[in-house]
Amino acid sequence: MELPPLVAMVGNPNAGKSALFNALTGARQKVGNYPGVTVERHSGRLALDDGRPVELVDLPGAYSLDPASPDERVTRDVVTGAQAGERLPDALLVVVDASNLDNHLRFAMQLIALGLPVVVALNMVDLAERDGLVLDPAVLERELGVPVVPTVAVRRRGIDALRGQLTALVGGSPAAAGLRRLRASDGSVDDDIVTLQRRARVIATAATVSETPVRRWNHMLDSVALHPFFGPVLLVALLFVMFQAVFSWSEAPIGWIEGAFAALEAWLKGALPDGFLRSLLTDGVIAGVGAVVVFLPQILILFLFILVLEASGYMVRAAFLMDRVMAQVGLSGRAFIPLLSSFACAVPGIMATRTIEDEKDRLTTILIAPLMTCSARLPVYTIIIGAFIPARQVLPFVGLQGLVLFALYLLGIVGAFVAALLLRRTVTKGESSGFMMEMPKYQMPRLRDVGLGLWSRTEIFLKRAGTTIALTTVVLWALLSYPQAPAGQKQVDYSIAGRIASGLEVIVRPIGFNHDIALALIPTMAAREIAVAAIGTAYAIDDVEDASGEKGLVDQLRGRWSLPTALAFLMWFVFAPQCISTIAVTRRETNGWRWPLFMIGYLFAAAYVMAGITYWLAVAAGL
Amino acid sequence: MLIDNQLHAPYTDAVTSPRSPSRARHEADSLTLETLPRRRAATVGAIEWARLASPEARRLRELGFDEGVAVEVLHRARLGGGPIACRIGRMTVALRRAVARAISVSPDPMPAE
Repeated sequence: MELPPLVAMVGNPNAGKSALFNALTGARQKVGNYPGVTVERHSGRLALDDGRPVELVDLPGAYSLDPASPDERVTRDVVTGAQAGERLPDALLVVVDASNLDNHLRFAMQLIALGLPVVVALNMVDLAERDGLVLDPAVLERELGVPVVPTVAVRRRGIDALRGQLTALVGGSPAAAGLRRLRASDGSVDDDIVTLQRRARVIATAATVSETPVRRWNHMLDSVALHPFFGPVLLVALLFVMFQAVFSWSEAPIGWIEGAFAALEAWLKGALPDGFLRSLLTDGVIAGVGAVVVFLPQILILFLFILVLEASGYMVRAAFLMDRVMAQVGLSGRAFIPLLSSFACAVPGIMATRTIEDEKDRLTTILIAPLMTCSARLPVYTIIIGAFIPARQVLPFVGLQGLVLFALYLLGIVGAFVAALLLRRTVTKGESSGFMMEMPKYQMPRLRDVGLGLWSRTEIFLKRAGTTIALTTVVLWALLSYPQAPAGQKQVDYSIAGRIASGLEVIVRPIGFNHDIALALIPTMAAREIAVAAIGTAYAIDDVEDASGEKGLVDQLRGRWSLPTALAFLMWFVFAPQCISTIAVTRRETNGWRWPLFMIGYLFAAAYVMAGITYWLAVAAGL
Repeated sequence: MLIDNQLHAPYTDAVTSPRSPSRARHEADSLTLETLPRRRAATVGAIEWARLASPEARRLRELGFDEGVAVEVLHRARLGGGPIACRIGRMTVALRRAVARAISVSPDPMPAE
């Protein structure tokens, strides 16, 4: 089958490429991966005016053809035809921000000089006009020697004109013949950036019809957001609201989900005869999956905040404010964004480290990201705190339970900082890296983009709950149910899982863990939230009474665990790297097993030592 | 890396050559981006590329730092060494003080009241 012509969208970060890509391709999009690297490949179909299909690929934003990160490398390699698994584009759609021409034109000129057919989208002309800047696209066309189309991607302005230009551009001549400036076999391109930049500035000035300085609301926002005093106050307040919302907004939806699962269980119990299938479905699948799906609202609220902060442009301001703090432990403000995302989940957090240019910096950030309290720990923390920490007010508006939860979050952060400090002096030793970042204009986050982001998170989470977690709990249920214990013997101890746990118990006994915990730790390697499901399943099988609901589980825990054990268990979860997805993404992002193994090793060691200290201190204090 | 090596030498030469008009200004007024008062319009003079790590120098060039470009300090994060946000051309860029120190600037004449 003959492939349709390929058009690559290229441009600086913050040029509005993604919005233009969405406007051009609509819903016909595909997200894949480039082979060998974890850079996402966004592609979509587009029908030209004459009906021919074209494949449009949205390349990662870059500042030049001299890559500073894996993302930028893909961009360069695609446009020079050096990217494995991608053909040389038949044409380039270069996107420039109309209000930032003097900088974006330089990269555009570098791309035009490659010799592929090019059309330039002069994007976000509305924002430029709002800033008092009037441009003449005809001057740009003349100076650049390629068609220039003014666009406003978010309002679909200029989209038809752009498609018209692409129709004329694609398929006229065999494109590969046009690539005239591929210098080295590795795809690298030498360009004199300073000379190009000066030329770009001259063209930008020539294309400017008029410029009326207007008071930009962008500056007004920044004078608060970056204020030496109010800036940090605002950041702390935002983070406080975010974490507060995670708990208070989620109460109602959690109730609905719990109700739905309880109804399902009741229905199954009525519809099925007592026996193997009923036990598998109610004790295995529903007890396990239900315990996990309940946390979907909290995870979505956390992601909602992170997506909005990201899309609005505030995240970079947060990085700016945090740079000084991060520098203390040998990192830069850039590490703040992936670390904040890791509060939702370490997997996207670790993927977000790609924007960190310095290799050592990036590696350190990856290694400490699992210490941020991810949403998968919440089920564990919530259950244990609910069972063992009395709901007492310690100060007006401050409950003891909330305080303990806050302390656990704080412990993760402190642990991460200490780890970064130690790592930067040992395994990831090197020059302290710099912090240099473009601060994009503030933007109103678009409902559609945030919605799409949330939907993809929901999909991933439910898929995980429906596959990994369901499977793990079913396997655990089977291992717990067989062989059947003879009368007088406890089923949990007699089963296969129980016997495996007895082996592990020898190791974890010194840090206060009992047989049930040893049992839960094994399946929890797949994902932290399984700990709750695993304990729930174990007690459901062990108990004649139904104990699969949360109420039952809490009472069970109170009866079976001591307070020092519960505290040690909480401490274990602050550090233990019990998440197969995190380990897998670390392997992908660091190209090998060395760093994920190191990560597993140091985090388990920390978990063991810290849980042990907690247990013995608690016992010594007579708790 | 190629770009850095190629650019470093000629560019530094140009800056330090006696013909360079910016040099006299640079010596007369040793203001750098680090010490430039906030909200004071200025022009980038010489940039001491040799003081910067090469990825830093490259990114600085990519963000448009060059002799003769308009620059203005917008914000400084906290006392005691936080980064600086400045306007360069039409962009807002955050950079650390150590980098700002390598960029000398000359304030534009104050507009007549």
